[in-house]
Amino acid sequence: MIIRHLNIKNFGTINDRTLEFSPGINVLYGENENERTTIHTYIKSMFFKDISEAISDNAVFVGPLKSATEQDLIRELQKFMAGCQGTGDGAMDLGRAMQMLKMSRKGYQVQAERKQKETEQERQKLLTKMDDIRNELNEIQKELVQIDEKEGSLRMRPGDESGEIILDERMAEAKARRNGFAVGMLISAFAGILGLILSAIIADSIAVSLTVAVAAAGLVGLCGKQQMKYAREFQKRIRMKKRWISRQEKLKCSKESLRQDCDEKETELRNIQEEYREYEENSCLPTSEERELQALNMAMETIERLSGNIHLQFGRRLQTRTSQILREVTGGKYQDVLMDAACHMTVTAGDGTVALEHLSRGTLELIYFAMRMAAGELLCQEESLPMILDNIFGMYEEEDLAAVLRWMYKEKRQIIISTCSKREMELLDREEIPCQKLILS
Amino acid sequence: MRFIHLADVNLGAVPDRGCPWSSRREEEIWETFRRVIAGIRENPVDLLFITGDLFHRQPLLRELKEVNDLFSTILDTRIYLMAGDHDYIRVDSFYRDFQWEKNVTFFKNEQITCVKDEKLDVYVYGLSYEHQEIEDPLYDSVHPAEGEGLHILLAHGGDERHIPMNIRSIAASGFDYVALGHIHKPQILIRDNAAYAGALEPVDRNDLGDHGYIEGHLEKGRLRINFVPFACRSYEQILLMLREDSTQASLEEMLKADLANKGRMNIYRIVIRGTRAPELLLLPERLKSFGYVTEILDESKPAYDLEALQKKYSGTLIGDYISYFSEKDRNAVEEKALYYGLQALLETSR
Repeated sequence: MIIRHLNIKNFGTINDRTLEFSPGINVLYGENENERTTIHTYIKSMFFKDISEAISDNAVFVGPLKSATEQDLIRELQKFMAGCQGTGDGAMDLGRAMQMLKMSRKGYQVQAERKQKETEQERQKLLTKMDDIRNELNEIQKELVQIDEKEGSLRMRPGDESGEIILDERMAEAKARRNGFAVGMLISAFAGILGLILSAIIADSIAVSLTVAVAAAGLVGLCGKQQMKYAREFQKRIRMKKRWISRQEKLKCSKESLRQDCDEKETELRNIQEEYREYEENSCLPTSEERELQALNMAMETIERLSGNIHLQFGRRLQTRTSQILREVTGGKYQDVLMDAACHMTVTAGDGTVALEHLSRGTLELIYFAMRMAAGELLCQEESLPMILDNIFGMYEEEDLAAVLRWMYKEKRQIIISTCSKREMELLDREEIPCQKLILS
Repeated sequence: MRFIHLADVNLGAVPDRGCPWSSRREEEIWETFRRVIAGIRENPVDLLFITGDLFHRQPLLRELKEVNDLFSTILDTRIYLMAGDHDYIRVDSFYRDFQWEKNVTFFKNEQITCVKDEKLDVYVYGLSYEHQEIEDPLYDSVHPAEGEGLHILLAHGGDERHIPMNIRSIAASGFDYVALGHIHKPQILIRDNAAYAGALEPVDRNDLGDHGYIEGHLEKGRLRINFVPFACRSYEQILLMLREDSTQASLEEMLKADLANKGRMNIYRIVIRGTRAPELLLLPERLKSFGYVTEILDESKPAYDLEALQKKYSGTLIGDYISYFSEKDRNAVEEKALYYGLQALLETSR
């Protein structure tokens, strides 16, 4: 970009002013600093409002070193150099960019944690369900053991039929006794009747007959009583066996249903275990939050790595170009400007390195000039921008200023020297360097 | 003659575990199966084919009893049932000793068996899975037997680990209908001749679209089949296209309109695409409150002209950043990383 012509109708304190610029060196002279500043502001707001402030401040508008003491001056120089190196193009706030990414990352982390918690809850639910079923299974198995014990006490385990045999034996015994006494009763009745008849025939004595009858009746009664007793016992035994059998059946039945329950629960348990496994496998898949997190991390890592490169590249380029300019304007007296990792600057001159502390104010001004020119070039590589040097030559020795002006002429870029002193114009004339003079009054 | 062909009912499945509607979906799977049976009771069909995966896992005895009870309410319908890979007949499966109603024919093992339905002159061929995976192409060698009537093959599987098959050649070997199961997406592979009935109810978020069963009937001696949508809900995908002037509010409006259009009953996956204004801060999670939403995929990009930016910022960190990502074939994560970083750099460089 080259500024050719300014036509200010009404801006700040300036009314209807036309300024013509040359593409080379221009001197904007005016003793009134306000007017010059207004023109700077005008240029800034007209041409550089789309360019970041950092670029326009670093590459277009070059102000003088402000510090009064040499110590502060050196600090200012080093700060500028370090600032340029730290941000690469001096226009980016890497810390803020990283902060922004970190904030997005935090948001997704919260979401991911919430989701993880939900997944964990579901997992716990499944685990609880599994435990419940296991407990139920245990209960069922306990009941089965109890039934087994009962079966033992009822002697009905397979292979042990003694329970039934004993019952049958007892039943048979009662039945035999009952039958025996029934037969006894019949026999004694029969014997009684026979005795009565015989006694009537043989003895013909009422007493004997009576005795016989009484004895027979007694016997019949006795046998009858016994028979009744055993008949009752027999009935009892039948009932007992029935009860025993029904109990046995009941046991068998509940055992059967418990077994079924057991199978059912086992299948259920296995199904849930399978489900649990599948759920675990599924929850291992990356969630959308995890993908976002991955992307954010990748963005941060990449920025970090690339900005590291840019640091190095830019810092090196800046140092190289600064050194080159310094060599040119000092006619080779100073060779290289170096900066170490601690941001400490040194200059090599002829036979050794010199710390900035040991340099004159004039040399420091030259280093500053070289650095600003280099930064201006490197920051706007795509398109060369005009440079506006605002009163930066105030402290210069005449010879240094002449060298700098010659160098600027050789560079053939648009430079606007804004000054309140006539020195620059006089020197330009003396050196016969063509320039456009713009005199404000 | 009329029949219904069901598959992959997946009774007992718990879809979308962790989502609030999960247990309701579990019940709905049963309910829809009951509705099918109730429908048959109202309007009886002659045959009901269930081509595998009636249950999602090993059936419990009480579940078998419940299904059998349902079958007992449609005694006029002959039911042909097979076990698939999900409910395969394990050694201790309750399938093995279960006593089915007399109208049910259950294929008991992994050998192809042909059952002739005397009343209807229909031959039904089938087998059941006794293993979770079967890699032998058991169906490829099956040919219909001699005999007048309809020959229908019930088959489950079709992928590498579940009886791979060449369905066209099987159908061409003379079957009047190949009733397929296993693939959850309903699809008629050969017109009036071979079809996957698909899952009766969608079982997970990947079972997109309509679900139901296949209905068939004989029309002038020719078999006709058609798909009958029957599921009470479907999983759908909503695509929201962002433009540079879109905002969170306009996105929500778009979603509301889509939901009203496609039905609030259904369960959605939302995909956000298109380009958004770089400064727009999207809150995709908020979209979940508007309906049944399983997941939201944000594939939208900030409206950056990468080429122009790369040119403008070449030689600076931003330029280097863009070129770093432009040089590679970006995957989804790298794509996102590019835009995240670029946005942060651009926004903080102003």
